[in-house]
Amino acid sequence: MRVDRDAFVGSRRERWDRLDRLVREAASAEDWSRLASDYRAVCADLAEARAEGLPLDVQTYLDDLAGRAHNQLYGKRDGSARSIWYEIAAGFPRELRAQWRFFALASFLFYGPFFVGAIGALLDPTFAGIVLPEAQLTEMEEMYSDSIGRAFGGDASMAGFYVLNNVGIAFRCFATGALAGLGSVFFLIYNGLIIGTVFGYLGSVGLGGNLLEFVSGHSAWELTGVCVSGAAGLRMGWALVVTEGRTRAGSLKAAGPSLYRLVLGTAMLLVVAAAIEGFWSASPVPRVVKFVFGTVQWFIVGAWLFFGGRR
Amino acid sequence: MQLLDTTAKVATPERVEFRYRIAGPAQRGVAWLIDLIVRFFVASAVFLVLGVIGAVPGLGGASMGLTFLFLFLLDWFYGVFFEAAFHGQTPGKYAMQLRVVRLDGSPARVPDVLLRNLMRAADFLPMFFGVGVVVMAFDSKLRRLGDLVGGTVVVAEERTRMLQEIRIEPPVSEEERQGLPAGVDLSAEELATLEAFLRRRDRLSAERVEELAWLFGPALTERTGIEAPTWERVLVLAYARATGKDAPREDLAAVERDFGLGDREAS
Repeated sequence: MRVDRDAFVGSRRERWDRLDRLVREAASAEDWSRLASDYRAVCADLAEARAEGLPLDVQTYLDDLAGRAHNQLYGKRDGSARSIWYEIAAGFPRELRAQWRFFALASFLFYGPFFVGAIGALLDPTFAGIVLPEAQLTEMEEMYSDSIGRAFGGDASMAGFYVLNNVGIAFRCFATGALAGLGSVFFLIYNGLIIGTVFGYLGSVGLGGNLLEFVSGHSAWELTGVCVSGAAGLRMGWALVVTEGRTRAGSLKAAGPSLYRLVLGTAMLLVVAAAIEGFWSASPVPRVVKFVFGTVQWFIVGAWLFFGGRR
Repeated sequence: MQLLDTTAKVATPERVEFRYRIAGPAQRGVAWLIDLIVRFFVASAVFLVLGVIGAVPGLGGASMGLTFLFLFLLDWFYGVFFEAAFHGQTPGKYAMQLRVVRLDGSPARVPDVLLRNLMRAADFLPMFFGVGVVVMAFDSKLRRLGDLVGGTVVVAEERTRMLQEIRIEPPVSEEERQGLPAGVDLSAEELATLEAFLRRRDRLSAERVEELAWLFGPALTERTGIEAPTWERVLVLAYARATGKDAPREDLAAVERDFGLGDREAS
């Protein structure tokens, strides 16, 4: 005998309505334990509704109700601040070493054009004009012509701007890696070439010292951060192309945990870079101190990436 | 009856599998627009406060810095924050009754939502989610790049409402009842089809109703011997007899009272 819809609905309606209400506004401990038991009961109702072939509207209704209750009940999980810090401190460097090929490739794609730009602009006075518009070069020249301490209002506003701009660029460099890695390749080469050309150009007009003084403090964090974001993008592009027997979607998903750590590392490197760049790099501290500080930063970053997460 | 393929099955620890409806690009687009508006107002409010703080001598730089920092957070972490803290829902998704879940239906975690939100930069290219929409078109679960990398899917959680009980209108007359066979044997699938038909017929033109009824009516007449002036009525009568709804109205009213259905307003 087929179970009658009216009888089925009628005898359970109260529980369903209660669960529907609890899903939206469960607050007290009693509510939650009620929600849990009602949810299980509704799961059983759903199974029965299917087995007995009850009308589709009942099944759909129970599907939705059970689904919402499930999400509410099994809601919060992990992602605590502590586990994120652990991932940054240990998980990220470990991951970067595991993915060193992508990091090496990204570094090559960034520093290669960087040196091309720098050497080109140093040797050939017309080179910089090809890469960058004259107006921008003049602007750069003016920016670094004064002694650093006065030319920049080293303060919170600049630090905030560097976070917005630089971390944003790095995130884009990562995300566009999904286009078979091409976006990341573009960002790495483009930024490498531009930055290198500016270095070469300012060096050729005798302002190299000012520029080096300014960038020395944050260079370790910033340049490494850009390369890591590129490495993450390349890793993702690789996962899309070389699927190792998975579907493309499955391959991307499998790369997720690795990408997550690399992205965390990117953000960390660039936020520290922004803080140093905003508060320290343009400060009126003697040039020698800045160079020493900058060198120490390279050692710190290197030690973190090389030793972090090792037992 | 097999549902359309815009659903994702989820197995639970309770050993019951339920289905989610996957959200389409239109719903998600509206949710995104709502979020855009929310972001606009949040940004306006925060800029107003920071602007006032910035007017204080000596705090101008700090105010500017915080403004930039806030813009950065709003741009990249708006979705991360809400989806991680509010069970996979931004205000826009809440309004549209959408939710980000993992592929297996479990709640999205911080790593998942971080990746899917950063990937928006790629999905948005070249403008207004061009890449994202193309990727969605090729994916059976309508995922954009961010969902693929984050291992997430956006589901629609509309609170469906139980449909009104089907009433036989006009009721089965005494005359008709006598012409009906003792029992009508219909499979569950056939019953479901009849129900779907009966629910929808109010919204269709009379011609269309008859056209649809003709698809099943002749076969029913042949099988059960039920005859009526229209094919529609044949279907109605077959359904009524199979479900026992051909009883006189007073009896039905009693049934409804017993099961507490009488006072339930159809929703």
